[in-house]
Amino acid sequence: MGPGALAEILEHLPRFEHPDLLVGCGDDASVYRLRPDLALVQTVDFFTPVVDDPYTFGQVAAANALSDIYAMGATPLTALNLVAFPICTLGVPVLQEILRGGADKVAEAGAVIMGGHSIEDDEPKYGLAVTGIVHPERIITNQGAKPGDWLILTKPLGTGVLATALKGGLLDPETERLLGESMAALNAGAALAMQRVGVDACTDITGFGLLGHLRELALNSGVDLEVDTTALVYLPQARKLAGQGIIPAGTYKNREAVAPYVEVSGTVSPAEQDLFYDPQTSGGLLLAAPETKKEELLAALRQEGIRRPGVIGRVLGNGTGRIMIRGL
Amino acid sequence: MENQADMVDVRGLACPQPVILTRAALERSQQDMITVVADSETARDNIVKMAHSLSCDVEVDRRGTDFYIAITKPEEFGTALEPREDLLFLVASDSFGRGSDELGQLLMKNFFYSLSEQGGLGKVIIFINSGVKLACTGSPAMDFLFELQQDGAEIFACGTCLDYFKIKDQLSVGQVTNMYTILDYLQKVPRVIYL
Repeated sequence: MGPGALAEILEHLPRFEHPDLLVGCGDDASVYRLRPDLALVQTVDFFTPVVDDPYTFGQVAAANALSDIYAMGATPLTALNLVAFPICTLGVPVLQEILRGGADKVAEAGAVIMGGHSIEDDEPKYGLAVTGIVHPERIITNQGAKPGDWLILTKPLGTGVLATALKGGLLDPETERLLGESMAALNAGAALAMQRVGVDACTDITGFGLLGHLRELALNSGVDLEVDTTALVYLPQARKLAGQGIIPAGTYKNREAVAPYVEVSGTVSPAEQDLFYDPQTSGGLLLAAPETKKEELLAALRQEGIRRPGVIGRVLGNGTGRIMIRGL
Repeated sequence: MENQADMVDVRGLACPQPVILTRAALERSQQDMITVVADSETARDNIVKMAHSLSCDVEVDRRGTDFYIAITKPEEFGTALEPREDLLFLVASDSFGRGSDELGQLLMKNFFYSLSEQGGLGKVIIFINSGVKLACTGSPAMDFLFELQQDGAEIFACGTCLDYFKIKDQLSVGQVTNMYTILDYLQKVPRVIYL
């Protein structure tokens, strides 16, 4: 669901207040304090297939669900499967492969799947509810970005455009492989680096697109941001396909909700402007780190196997959540 | 009068089908103009973007809840789809232009960034002198060169130059070549762009 509609719905729901509810709606995952030194972190995420291969889809769904735990600086412990599936038309082996992909990813994360729930549905959907733990003083939210912080992104952009192209049979096998690989990659390494070095704020880039999530971070932190388009890294073919109109509907919803807070200067191609709002599946972590920690963080990210951490922008100063885009 | 054979109805279809069907119709149609009927703003915007990427003229007319999109082909329709066989890029430096090397390197990155977004421009790219660094590990243009290669461009790096800079083992994209091959290409390809 787009950020606009979701905000409208949440506005009319009662909000829970509790002294131990440390982080509620509006962040990647919710955090509830159990003891002074221990808090529970919970999140849930599921969606329809984004790739053709069922095993890869399972991996992607699990990596995506786990990502919200990592984005809070927490450690995942347990997970529950959520399955909607047309068992009569697609058959048992396909679902088995999806669940095997999910299980392998959860195992890679060092967590366990304890069970789940399934229903019959015409369109397959898969995801997980994940629970993790964190020390209440070590929670990393999207509210802590400070003036002067550097913004670092750990995965390339463009999964929405490429998944749309894949649906239309427009993707070559090599790009399809790279798309699956990027989306199935856990954000565990990036999270480890960020915990070790320390950052001011973190969020993961998913359905609202880069600018949707940057907007949340900027608004919740009370700052304005600057994004350098020449530092953004895209998946191969993404810019070209976007330029040819292979753009998912979610992009337009994200743009509608966020564009009023965005100013563009310099030259930015229409394709890039669309990719700023491209809904990401299992996107990277977006970290806000002070100048003094920037180089150490970049080194730690590379050490954890993040090939090309991108320094994509900077926190300008205290503000109202505006985003300045600087083009060529 | 609108000719029924050159009308495409993409109402009710989800992305990316409207774009795919429109493009197929453009390529198939003998007429200079086709008309597409769409019923969502997403489909309309995506079709307009696709048509512009093929240098077509587009006019959108709203009728009730539907959009009638008239797409007129350019004179040389279809030529932008494939890498141009007649164009060669000879890249003789890792820095674009004179004045500042730091700026030049940024410009060179931006050049390949823009080139790879457009695709279909230039079939052959040859790197000589310090230009070979652009095809080696750590190059700021690496992702874009891979993309160009994937789109059908042939990429060559001068072997003598790689040896001179002692970076032959770091070549990451394209293949090593020699002056005979370079000369052959320079004579064969009618238009050379020197960077």
